[in-house]
Amino acid sequence: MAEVTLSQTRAAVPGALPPGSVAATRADDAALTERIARQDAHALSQAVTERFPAVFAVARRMVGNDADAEDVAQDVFLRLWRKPPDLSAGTATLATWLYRVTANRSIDWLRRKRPGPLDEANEMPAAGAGPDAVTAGSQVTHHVDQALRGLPDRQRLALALTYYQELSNIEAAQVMETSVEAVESLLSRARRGLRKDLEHEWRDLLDAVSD
Amino acid sequence: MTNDRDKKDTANSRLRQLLAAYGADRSRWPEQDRAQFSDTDAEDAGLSDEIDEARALDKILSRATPALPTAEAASRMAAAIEAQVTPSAESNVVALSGQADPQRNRAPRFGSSLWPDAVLIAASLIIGIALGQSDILSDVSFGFSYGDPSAVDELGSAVFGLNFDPDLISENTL
Repeated sequence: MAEVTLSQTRAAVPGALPPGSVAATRADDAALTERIARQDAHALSQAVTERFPAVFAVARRMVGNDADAEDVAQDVFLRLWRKPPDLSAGTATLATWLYRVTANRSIDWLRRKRPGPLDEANEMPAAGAGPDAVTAGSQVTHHVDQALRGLPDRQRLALALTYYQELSNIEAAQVMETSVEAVESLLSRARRGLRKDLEHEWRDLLDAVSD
Repeated sequence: MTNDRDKKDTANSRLRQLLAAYGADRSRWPEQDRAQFSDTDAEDAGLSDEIDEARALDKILSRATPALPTAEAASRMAAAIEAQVTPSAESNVVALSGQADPQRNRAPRFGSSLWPDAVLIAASLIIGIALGQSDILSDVSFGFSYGDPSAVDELGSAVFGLNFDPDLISENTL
């Protein structure tokens, strides 16, 4: 498996896991999960302390509201407590595992709330709030959030992982258990879809973000 | 000559793919592509329109950076998890959202129906006495680092009145 390097070229993103050498992280992660496997509550506390913002950020992006994102995050950490991953082989990180479980739990949640084939229909409303609604920064955020929610789940997940959590395409592919090419395709379609969804507001959005 | 043109076409095609998938910020491109293409390659290839479009979407997307969870959310999370991983706190299980959802697949609680209630009560008593004597749980806490020390203090006192272990607060969290 190719060695992964987290991007360190940009400022830290809120909710993103700390950047750094993945090799070093792997050793720490293996030790931490080993302690959790021995039912060391301190170790779980440490994992929650360090990783809750990242888990919450992805869950929030996927399920679309704080309360359900908290429930998803709770499930993720309880799963970590009850069935921690074995990272002793050094081929995976706790971050990858947490993001994967978060993605799975979020998609499970969405399936329960919105029955139907995954990625084929998304009943959440897309942007469409009208061209004259973009007047302030908060409106920009609202429009973009809505457009993101209108994307198919896996496109939204790919964007959440790479754009907002700043995972590399290799890391995102590991989390999503797919190929790098597939992640790239999801990202292209996501960006194209967003552009289309925001068509009516595009000029106003550009004016707003240029301020 | 044809070979050079093929190479150029391939490079331009890849640049288009990169702009479409990762945007105009080269630092977001895969490492090998950053190594292959310079800052000006896309512009030199006549992809100004694609660059402008990608840059605009980057800017708009940046306005939807996810907010951090609130201190209250972190507090609820800590309490809920602690309630489920420490048997003595079983009765304090917290419903995070407060929304009833019969389909929600909640994690099983301690004390399943496999054990008669009396056995559970007796076990709880024994465990409670043992923990009281051993102080095992006295310093277990679930802390969160938000770069705001006051928020950390607030959280510490919110979680069953337990103290924070300062070693667990990482500056690298955010």
